[in-house]
Amino acid sequence: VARIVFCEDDVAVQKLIRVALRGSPHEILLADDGMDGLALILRERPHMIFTDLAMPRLSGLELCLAVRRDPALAALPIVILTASVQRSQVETSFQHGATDLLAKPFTMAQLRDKIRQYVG
Amino acid sequence: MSGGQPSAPLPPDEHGRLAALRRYDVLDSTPDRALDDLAHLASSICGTPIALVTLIDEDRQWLKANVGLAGTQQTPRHAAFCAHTILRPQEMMVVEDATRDRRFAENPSVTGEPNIRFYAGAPLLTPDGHALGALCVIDRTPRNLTDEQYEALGMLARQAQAQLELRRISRELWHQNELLNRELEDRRRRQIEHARLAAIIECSDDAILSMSPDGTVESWNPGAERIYGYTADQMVGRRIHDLVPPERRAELEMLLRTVANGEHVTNVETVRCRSDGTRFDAAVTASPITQDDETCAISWIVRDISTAKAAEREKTEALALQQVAIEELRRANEIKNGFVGVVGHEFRTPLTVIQGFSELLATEDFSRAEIREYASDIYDESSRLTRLITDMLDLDRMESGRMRLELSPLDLNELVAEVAARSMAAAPGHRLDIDLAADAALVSGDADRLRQVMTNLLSNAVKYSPGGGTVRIRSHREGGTVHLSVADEGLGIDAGALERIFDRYARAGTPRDRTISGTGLGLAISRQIVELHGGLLRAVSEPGEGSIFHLTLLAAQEP
Repeated sequence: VARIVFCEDDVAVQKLIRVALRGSPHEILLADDGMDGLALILRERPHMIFTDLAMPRLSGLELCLAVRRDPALAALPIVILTASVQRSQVETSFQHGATDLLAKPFTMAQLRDKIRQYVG
Repeated sequence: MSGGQPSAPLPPDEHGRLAALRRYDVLDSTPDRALDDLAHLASSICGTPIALVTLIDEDRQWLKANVGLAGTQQTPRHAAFCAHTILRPQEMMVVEDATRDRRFAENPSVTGEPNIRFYAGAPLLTPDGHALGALCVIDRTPRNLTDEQYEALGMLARQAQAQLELRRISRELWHQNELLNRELEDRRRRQIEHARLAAIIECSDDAILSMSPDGTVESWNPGAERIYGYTADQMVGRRIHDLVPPERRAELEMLLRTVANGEHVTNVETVRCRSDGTRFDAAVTASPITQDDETCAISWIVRDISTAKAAEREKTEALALQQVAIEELRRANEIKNGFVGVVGHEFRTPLTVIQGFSELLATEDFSRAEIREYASDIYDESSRLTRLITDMLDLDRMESGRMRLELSPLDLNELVAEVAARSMAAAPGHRLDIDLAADAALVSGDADRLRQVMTNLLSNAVKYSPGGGTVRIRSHREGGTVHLSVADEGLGIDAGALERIFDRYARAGTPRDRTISGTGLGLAISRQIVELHGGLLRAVSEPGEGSIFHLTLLAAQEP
């Protein structure tokens, strides 16, 4: 059983994720923004992170940087949930330490594939 | 001195005598026919083989005319008989037998060639009493002359001197003539130069004037007449101060002092007055005119640079305008890029929810209640998309001027109260405090659009004060303007964000609670609507102190 943190400020998307992963063997933890997400990650030491980009207080990119600053979390898979698929955005994400990208709107099959890819 | 023979002492007037000799400019000159003739006459009258016209120079005796001593041009002064003759300028010197004269017995000209025995020399006497040399006759045997011969020798010496005088005078005349010609040439050149300068001054577009060190005008060229509008007659004798605006007088005094002290002033940019009182940009270049190290006058050149200045200003303004245009383009581009990004974000988030729940409903088993709930979620997200599209189209129509308002007289107080009641009913955590002035009620406007603005302002007031609090609505009338304000006790907006809140998709943070969800276009649309009404919408806020939105509209004419 793996712990997976989702940082997503949109309540409707949060609800969708919760419902979609209800039957998953993994522990799904939800954070409302980047700041809450960082606290949750440092406390729970998850096996994988999904994060939105545009969030209040701490953006997805800032969260990436903060997570990568901790040597213990250097290899933690971080998947960016982005509504933007502009090339510059993709490049910037990887420069900030993201592992992978999942573009919105994504299907539930794609979401489960990503989880399988990184935590089995 | 060599050989022991006594040389002649120097005459007492030696210095003046040599100077006189130089004046005749005769030493080392070409043979002179008249003097040669006089020497021949002396030789034949006195019956001597040798006759000379000699000139005694500082160290030598130079032979100007020579009969009987072919090949000799000069001899050392110490060996010269004539060097003795000049010691007594008024007398003739006669040596009847040189071998018996202590002065000459050892003289090489006596002991050797030309073996002088007899010598008779008459001084060549200048009008001012200097003996330049002598006319002498010489024989190789001791002898004497008759009185008539001595007298003739004296007369011939005076004739020789007369020739020298003639030569001197003619040379002096020639020299004076030279000087005169040179002076004439100089004067002619100066006149040409003067005429050329005068022509330059005459034709110059610049005002060229001269004045006394205190600024009294002495000359005034046509350029000055054109630039200032005063004629030379009007200005000569007047002080330059009259042409200088009062606030530039101190500067003028400083310039005058600087130039009077002998310094040059180049292209000082200033302002001057024309005769009609108008002002022009001018550049002043001034130089002192000196005589005996004293500044006796000042040359003063004023160039009218108003055209150049205007062009410069125009250029600066054009550059500034261009800068503004570039800034506007840059901003428009930024908005467009932001638009693309935000539209992506705003559209894709509800689409994710719609697509996700549809997929789940289609592939998994849910209870009836769950199915109903997720269908409702899908419906909400669809509505959100619809609102977003409507708002975008609205804004686009307003910004491109394609939206028409349906204007009619309406009661703003009634409209505000109605919207407030509805909005606040959905916000149980907030208190409404509404106090509207009766005289601020009547406006001319589009009721639906103004309702949209009020709904947006009130929804923002509630949304951005998540801790609850009071929402205050106030109004008053000021002349022809109605002022309405909506104040909350919420989060407030920091100065940086305050500048952008009326931009498309700007939001002070993304609120989680989407029960009154925003599209990020609300304030941009509200401002457009208010401005289409001829009004203004602006915001005042401090972080933590809440926000106040001020709305002004034109009051309708009293019925």
